[in-house]
Amino acid sequence: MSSIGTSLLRRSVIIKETLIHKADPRTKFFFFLWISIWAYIFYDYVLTAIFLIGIIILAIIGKILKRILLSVAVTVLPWMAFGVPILSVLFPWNSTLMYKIEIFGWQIPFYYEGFAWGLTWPLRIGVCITSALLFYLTTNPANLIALLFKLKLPFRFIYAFAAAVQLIPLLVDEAGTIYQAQLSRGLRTDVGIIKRIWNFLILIIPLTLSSLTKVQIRAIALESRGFSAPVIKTCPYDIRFKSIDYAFFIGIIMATLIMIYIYIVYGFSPIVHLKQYLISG
Amino acid sequence: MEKGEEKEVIPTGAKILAIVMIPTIAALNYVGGVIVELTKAPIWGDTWATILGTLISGFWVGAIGGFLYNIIMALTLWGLPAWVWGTANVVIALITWFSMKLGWTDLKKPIKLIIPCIIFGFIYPIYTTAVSIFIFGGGPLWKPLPAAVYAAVLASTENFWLANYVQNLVTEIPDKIISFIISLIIVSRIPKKYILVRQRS
Repeated sequence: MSSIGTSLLRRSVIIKETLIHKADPRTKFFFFLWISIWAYIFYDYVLTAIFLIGIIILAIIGKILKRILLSVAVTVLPWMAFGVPILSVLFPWNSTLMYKIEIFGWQIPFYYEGFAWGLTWPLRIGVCITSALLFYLTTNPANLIALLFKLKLPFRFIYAFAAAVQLIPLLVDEAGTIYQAQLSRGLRTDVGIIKRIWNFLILIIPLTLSSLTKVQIRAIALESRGFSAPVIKTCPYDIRFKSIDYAFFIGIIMATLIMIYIYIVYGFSPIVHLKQYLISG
Repeated sequence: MEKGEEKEVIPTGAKILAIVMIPTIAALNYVGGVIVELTKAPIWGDTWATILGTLISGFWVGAIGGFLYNIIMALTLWGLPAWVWGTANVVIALITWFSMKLGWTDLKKPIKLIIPCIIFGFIYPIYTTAVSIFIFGGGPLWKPLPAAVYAAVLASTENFWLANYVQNLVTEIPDKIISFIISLIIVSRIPKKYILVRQRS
């Protein structure tokens, strides 16, 4: 995980008054699932890129464009940078020659099938990641818990989820404190591989012991609030559909009908006409 | 239960501790990745807490904690398909649990550690290879060494599956073995009162 990725999760939700923020978390969650599934149904890098652009437009409306672009920069682009050149040359199902380049007297052929594979998969994952971030970054944590209640998930799972999301930034801060303390004690970072693993260990041990101590405190706190009591648990927050949600759902239904039509008439690769391989998904 | 009816509640010490352990494991997996960034250790570092949780609190706590970590990452940074890696955490918890039950987790008997290290290093990557091909397309990773290995194996064998498997070996052998050993070292230093598994037995 990159440091940019880490900072994305640490900063958590961005509270703003936009249409995307006002939408019900169920709507955003459904959109996240819906577009992720469509990204996998079609095997077409142009269409997948259109999905990604659609999410980026929603990110602009939700004023979270910078975060979304950062996530694309740290996941999709490096993957393409490795995948496209390697697979364009070496993909086992390559057959359509695009061009040849000469490197040190060697003629290296670049094929379309591998190029398309190396482009489509990172874009698919890009759609999944950005739609997830659109949901997460624009949903208040309280509404997120309310969503889990509405989905009728087990209370203990809801607690575990909420506690983990809350614990992550706390533990990251604690890890930073331990790291600074070890640095001031002479921890060297410009070392070989074995020493780096040792450094990992000496940071992890105090963090783990500290976390386990807090587990007991948390358990006592939970029991003092009747966590194990055999009563029906309620959520203090409520979420309701608004007119923006209905408009969103109408848009999703229309887009679904259009995509079903495209799939039936033009197939799974309507624009770039790729072949289906054994494992193309 | 009807309204007004009183019921005696029996404190469930170990059970509540196990429930609180689950989010802690998920968060520790996440922080493991952050510390790997700080130290530049040659591992992923985001499954060690699954192993630790299984060793401390049993299979279910380790598996659910590891799975939860992947669910959170799927809903935030990694995108929907990444939830599938949660099943890999369940496999890790299962291997750890079996190793523990068969007595292969004793640091004082290093010979016995060889078997789980082989399972983590060579058998577990079969599962991750299948996941990486069917869910993520099976392309090269965006780290130079695994990508170079992937390209070399693909060029020499033209076998897509083998290239993915060998690429996974390059990353999983150091990551899982180091994570396993580190978790064993940590468990050996943890006060006994925290170890729910051994308290029960």
